[in-house]
Amino acid sequence: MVIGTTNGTQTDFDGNYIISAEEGQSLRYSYIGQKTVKREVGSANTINVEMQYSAQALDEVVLTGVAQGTSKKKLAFKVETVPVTGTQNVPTPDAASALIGKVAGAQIVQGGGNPLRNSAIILRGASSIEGSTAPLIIVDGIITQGGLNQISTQDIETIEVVKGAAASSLYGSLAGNGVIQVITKRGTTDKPKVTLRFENGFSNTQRDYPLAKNHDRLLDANGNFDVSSGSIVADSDGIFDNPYPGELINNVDEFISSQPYSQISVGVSQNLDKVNYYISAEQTEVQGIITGLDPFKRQNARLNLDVNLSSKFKLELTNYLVRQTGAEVTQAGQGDNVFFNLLTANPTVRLDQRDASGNYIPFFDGNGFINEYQNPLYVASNQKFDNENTRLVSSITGKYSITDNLVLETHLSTDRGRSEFVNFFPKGYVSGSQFDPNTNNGFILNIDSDYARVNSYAQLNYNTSFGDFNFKSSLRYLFEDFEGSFKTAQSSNFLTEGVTNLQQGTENISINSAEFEEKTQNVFLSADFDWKEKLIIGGLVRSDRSSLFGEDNRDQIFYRGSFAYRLGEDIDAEWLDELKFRASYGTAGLRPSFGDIFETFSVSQTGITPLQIGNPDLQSPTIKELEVGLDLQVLNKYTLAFTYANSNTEDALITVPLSGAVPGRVQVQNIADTSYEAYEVAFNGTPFETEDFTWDFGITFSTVENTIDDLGSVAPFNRVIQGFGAGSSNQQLDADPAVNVFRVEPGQPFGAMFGNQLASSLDDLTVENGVVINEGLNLPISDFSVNEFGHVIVTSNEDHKAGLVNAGGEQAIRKWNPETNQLAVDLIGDTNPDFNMGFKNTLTYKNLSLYTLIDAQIGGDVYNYTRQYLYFNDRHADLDTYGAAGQQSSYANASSTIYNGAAPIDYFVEDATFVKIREISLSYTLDDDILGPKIPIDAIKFTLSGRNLHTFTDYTGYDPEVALSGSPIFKLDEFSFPNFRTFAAAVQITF
Amino acid sequence: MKKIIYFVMAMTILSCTQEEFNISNSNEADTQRVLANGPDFQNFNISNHSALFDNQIEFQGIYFRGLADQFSTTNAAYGFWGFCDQPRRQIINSTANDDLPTQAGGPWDSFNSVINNANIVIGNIENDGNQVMVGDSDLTQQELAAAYFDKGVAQGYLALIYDKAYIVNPDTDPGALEFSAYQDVFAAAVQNIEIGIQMASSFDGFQYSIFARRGVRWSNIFRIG
Repeated sequence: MVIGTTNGTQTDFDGNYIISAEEGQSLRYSYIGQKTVKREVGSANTINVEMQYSAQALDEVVLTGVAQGTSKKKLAFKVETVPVTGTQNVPTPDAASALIGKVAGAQIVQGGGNPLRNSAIILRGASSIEGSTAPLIIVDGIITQGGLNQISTQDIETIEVVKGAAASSLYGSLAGNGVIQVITKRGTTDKPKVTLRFENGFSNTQRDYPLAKNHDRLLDANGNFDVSSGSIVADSDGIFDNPYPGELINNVDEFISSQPYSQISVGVSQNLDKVNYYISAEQTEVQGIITGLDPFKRQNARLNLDVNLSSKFKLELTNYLVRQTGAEVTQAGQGDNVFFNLLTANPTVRLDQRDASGNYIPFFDGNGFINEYQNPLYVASNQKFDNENTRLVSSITGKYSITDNLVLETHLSTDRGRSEFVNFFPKGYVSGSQFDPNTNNGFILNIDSDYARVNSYAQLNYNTSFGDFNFKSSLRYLFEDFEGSFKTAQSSNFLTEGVTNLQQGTENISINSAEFEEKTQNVFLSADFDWKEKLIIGGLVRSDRSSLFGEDNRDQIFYRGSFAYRLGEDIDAEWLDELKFRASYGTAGLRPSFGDIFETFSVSQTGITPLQIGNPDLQSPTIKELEVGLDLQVLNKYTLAFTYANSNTEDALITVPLSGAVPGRVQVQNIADTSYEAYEVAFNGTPFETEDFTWDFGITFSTVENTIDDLGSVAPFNRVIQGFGAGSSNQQLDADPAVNVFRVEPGQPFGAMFGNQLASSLDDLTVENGVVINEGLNLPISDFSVNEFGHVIVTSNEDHKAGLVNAGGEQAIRKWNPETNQLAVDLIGDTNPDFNMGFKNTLTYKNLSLYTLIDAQIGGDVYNYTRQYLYFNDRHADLDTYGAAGQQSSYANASSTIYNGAAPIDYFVEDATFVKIREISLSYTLDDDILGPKIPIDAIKFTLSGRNLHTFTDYTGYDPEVALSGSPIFKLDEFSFPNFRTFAAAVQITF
Repeated sequence: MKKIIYFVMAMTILSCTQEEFNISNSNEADTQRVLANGPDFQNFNISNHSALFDNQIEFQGIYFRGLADQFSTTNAAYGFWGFCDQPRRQIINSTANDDLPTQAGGPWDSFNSVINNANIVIGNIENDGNQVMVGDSDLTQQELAAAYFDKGVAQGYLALIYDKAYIVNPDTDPGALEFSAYQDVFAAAVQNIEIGIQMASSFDGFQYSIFARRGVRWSNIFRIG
């Protein structure tokens, strides 16, 4: 391109070009993924230019949020492109992990160590109250049903992320939570390129859990439990300072240990005149950190094939097949929850001891205070909780050039999958009295679910240029057809041993099934217009007609208007490559769930009751977002992107509890409003670049405030957290959380925690008629003081005053509400971080490359229910601290004080701030210069790598990164499966 | 250009089709399915009788429990006797009242649900003129009597438990509900029970059945006439 003119050309296949330019004019050379080069035209007729790869290339074409591939410089809204080369060197079975720390505004939480669970993702902010915050996942243009952990990272070329409605309007009611598009590899070389990769490693936990070393039971003269009265009894002093008899056994170490990780992959690709292909196959095996469970395994294969049938007609085929198997591990709750049983286990008992038959002992005595402990080794060796997922993602796209300006594009794609879960306990299984009695003497639960999504579209693109003006337009008709179903069956108390069918159970027999269907047609028209590639104006209107919308409101319109001005084009400065101001305003939505629009009756033997009133007016909420920002690039080395976004969700869906006085208990209504405000900064650069040495870095920063604005006629409520579902069934894999701490209330942040509070100063006490009425005490304020732990106590409690736990002991007093004459309830925490950051570096010296990624969350809270419950079970190390200070155990574990009867209290709200060394890899490549011509190998790359290596945090549990619900908004730690770290060594051979 | 016109026309026509977006829900019943025929109508009414008695058996209304002092087994804990004050106290909607839906909302929902179902039966018979034919037997009068009885008993419980409640009839506008004092609700309850008993007395062989649990389809719990 001759700078300052519309005179431009393209090179041929070999890179030759011809262009007319005057002496003194400047030429700009640009190519996808390469640094832009400028050259002044002198007297010579030939100018040769060598272009280099750039992570900050302006001419990079994006495919997400736009109807046609569009260069980044012509975008009037933010589309993040994430190269995954760094992550591909680091062990992970989850493509979502490729985004952590690299996309400003993306909060991605690996909600647990089980690789079967998808990461919890929220892009920019929350746009719904009840529904999921998960974004739309697109793979090579195929609208999918989600599931990034089923996509191989080795297949990925790049990932594009569109965060808010201002950019995601193109996808209408599918994309209120943003969009992640995975773009997989295609052939790039004219000769076949084969890549073999072998990676092996191991995983283990990052840190130990702080467990108590003492107890408050009575010991005899020999230091053993005093059982002279027939059972273990409490020590009369009530102080938690008696050592356990014998050597303490760390049962966590016995069960959670280093386990292997491996991944083998092969890829073949080629780019010919007529055909481009990429074929890959991969097997991944992650044993995780738990002894005795079947490993997570994934086998996947891909075929991407592009065929140029003629100069006008191109066919693109994408096929991806994946099978994923592994053992489910229940989080939250008690019963068979591995982490509950491990952390509460009696430290005087070896879990790995066996009975006379060689079997693990089912449960242990709980020192007389807890009924018994289930032995997780017994559970693991007997229980089968297998999950098998198979999935096919496939598409065919035809592109026909009717004229030079007019292209017809047709597309047919499918994403279909099946999940099967089998939870099996054999005949003779013993659950223990306080655990799930249904599993006694055998239990089987079989869940089978499947889905099929078929999308088809026809799109007409009309692009033209006239003078300095460029015009690009698209008209698309898209039809989506989704069907899903599930069946569950269970029975217990088996008749025969060794038989695994459902019909042998004699009790607890139940079956359950449902099917879902959704049809949606969408039509959109988009038009983009630019003047000299400098002034950029875009518009979009889209109509969605969905069977999920009520029959009286079946069509919904979404739109976008965008504007950008590339001021840098007006500034004649050699150092300035880009200065663009952009603004976009758009709308998007979220579809109701199947069933939300229907009138339903609950039909059972004991009642036929109207359950839900149908809503023929139900629609998608309207998410309106304004996004403004600037993009700056200087010295061909540094890019800075700043984005401000303000989003309002109107008519968010809520299941409204009705008065009860008319038929139907609930109705799903478009009634609530939420909003968020976000700031995002991304700074990338290449500070040093010589022939031998290169340093690339990337920094991301983001902050967001989510607020509940209005709930209509609905009273504030505690958001019930729904755990991970088993496929598309109505079965949850985890138990319901024990605490409902997250409050939805207008004016409060979405993620607000409400609960009781400990008084920390005498001013926190409630005085009425001259006496303190907290806890119903009615004592003068002079009786109170603040102790060494910062808790308000009754200074002298020798008289065993009513309302206090123990005579002679101290009791932390809770705040009181004089109006209700009950414990005060107030805001005790907020899960939203102050800000998130990511810091990525790649240092390359000749053939040696060091890649690091550190990410951080500053601020935000997590509710540590694990700790709260371990207080109750006398197993948390904090009890040692209180005991050492002379406090009775009731100081911490009584229901009327710190433990708070397992109800939410500020004491267990902890700062979730962390800095995590997320990814490191060190690679050395033997290239063909070193290998020489005699060895038919282009390169051998050796890599040492690690993931989740270390977390710097004050959080007292395993990891502040928890997401039991599948959403980063609800950070509740309840015996969660902790994230683990993985070390690996890899060899990659390319020929 | 013709191709473009055809393309746009095809998309417009496709975008006008409506019927295929009316997907039914085969997972749950709606009113039409529940009241599809006489036996189903009767089953619906019987299930409402069952619900009424279940609700009475499982009833743990907050004022009743307060009076019995079963919450605390101590006097005046948390000022609980205050719930027996007149006028009756309002329950605070906060996380401290974590069992609010069960203690306060449960009886409200369950007894109102019985009234709603009874209103469906009454409205269907009295307003829509439908009959309940089971085989050759016309059970319209019997089902109507039972529905009035259910409604009256449920209203009586609401009046006992709550300071105010809605008096809802089949033709009441659901968008314009107004609370009535519990004394008025109680009067409506007595009136409906009396209507039910009168109708039942005039129906020869009146049966009031409930679904029994565990396999038995239903049992007659009383007969009139």
